[in-house]
Amino acid sequence: MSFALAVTNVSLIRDGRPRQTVLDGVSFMVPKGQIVSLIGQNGAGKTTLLKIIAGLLSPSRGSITINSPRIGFMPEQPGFLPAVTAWQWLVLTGGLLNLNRSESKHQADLWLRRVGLHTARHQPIGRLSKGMRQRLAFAQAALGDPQLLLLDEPLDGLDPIGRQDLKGLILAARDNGTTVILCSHILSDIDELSDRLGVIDHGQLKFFGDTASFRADNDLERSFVNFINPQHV
Amino acid sequence: MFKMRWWRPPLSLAGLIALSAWQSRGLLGGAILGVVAGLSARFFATASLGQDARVMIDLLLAITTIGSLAIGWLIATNLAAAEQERGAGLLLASKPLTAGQYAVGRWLGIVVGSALIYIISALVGCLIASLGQQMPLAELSLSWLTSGGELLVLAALANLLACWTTSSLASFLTLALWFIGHSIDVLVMSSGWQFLGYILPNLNRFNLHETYVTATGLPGTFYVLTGVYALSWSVVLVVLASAALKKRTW
Repeated sequence: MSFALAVTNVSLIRDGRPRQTVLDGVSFMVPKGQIVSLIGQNGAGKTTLLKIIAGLLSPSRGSITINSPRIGFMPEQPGFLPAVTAWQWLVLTGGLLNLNRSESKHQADLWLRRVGLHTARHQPIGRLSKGMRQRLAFAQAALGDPQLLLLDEPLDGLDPIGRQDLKGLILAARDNGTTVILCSHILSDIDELSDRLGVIDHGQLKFFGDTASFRADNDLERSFVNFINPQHV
Repeated sequence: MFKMRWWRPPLSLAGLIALSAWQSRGLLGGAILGVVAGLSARFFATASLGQDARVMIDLLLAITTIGSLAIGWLIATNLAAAEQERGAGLLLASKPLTAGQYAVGRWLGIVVGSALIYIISALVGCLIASLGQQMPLAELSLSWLTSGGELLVLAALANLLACWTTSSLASFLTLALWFIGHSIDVLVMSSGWQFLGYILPNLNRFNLHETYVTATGLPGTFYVLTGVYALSWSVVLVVLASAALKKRTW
């Protein structure tokens, strides 16, 4: 199989009055080793779709096929236990991946260096800045070298240098054969990173294809606004 | 290629919670509690309650058990419930953990976090109380062990409650159920409802301090049965927590 992820007719309906259709018949297929971005307005269903792919939510209908033994997930607002140090956090979450102690330590050191947190590795996470915690969350998602990385707003809260560094890491992961699915509101970053683009509007996938073909001659932001709301001035 | 081991993820999760309790100054709280308990025991043992060292130790154990379990729950349930509030659960649950592994890991984390505080407070308290006094260590250790059974059940209770509620509410409800658990015998006697004794954990079974003061000892089988009782209740509560986590919406 040459695809990394197949989303087939996925719908999610939340019970309540009235019943809310969060996702409606979403289908797409992601080839291995590509970066696919999901964009849409707030509440369009992007984060919900990522959580379904990560196995944190079950769809009401449809199925997810993942051609990868391991998934890394970085949530939009990563939370940590603040008294634990960055190094301890990564070593122990390595255990959650069933890595043995020495492999966990090796992976923790490796990723702390890659995300530029090696000098702050023994600081309690509660004392790290938002940008540093964001990098730590990326390191945790990438721990154990998953073949599929799901990143929800990974560049949120980072300064320009931090954003540049993290974009470099995402591109390096792609170059090493990892498939990356990411959500972001910063469309200039999406334009820079994505091979393919999915546009979700009110729970429906309205476009899925090459980023360049969606953008045409415009910048991505203008194309997106025109696509969602052609009357918007 | 690494070997998949069922126990490794829950142990790692327990390590994270216990480490966090350790580094959240929980042990300092335990030590302060031990000092207060030890000094109180010394005071009461030489005051109107009498000069009996056994009375002193009974009081000391009661204070350290109640206090350290309370501190332990507050810290550990705060950590466990805060997974959802702060989003840490999202990070952890997205790893390939089953609901069963998650429930067991969290329960063990609460047990270890509370036990560390209990051991420190009891050690400090006993040390202060025992200066110049007679300390029957063997009997004291047995009392400690039976309190450990109570800790297992309460940790399982806090773990279950933390699946639904906020951290502070989980701690409060655990404390409320702890009082109920110690009043089961009275409730059954006053109401005549025998079934209450079967559907609620009877924590009075672990209250050996009084027995220890008035009696000369208990048969070894009693301790074994108390341990089995604690483990059985813990397993039931952890299975319920696992079922609750399966249905949890992240």
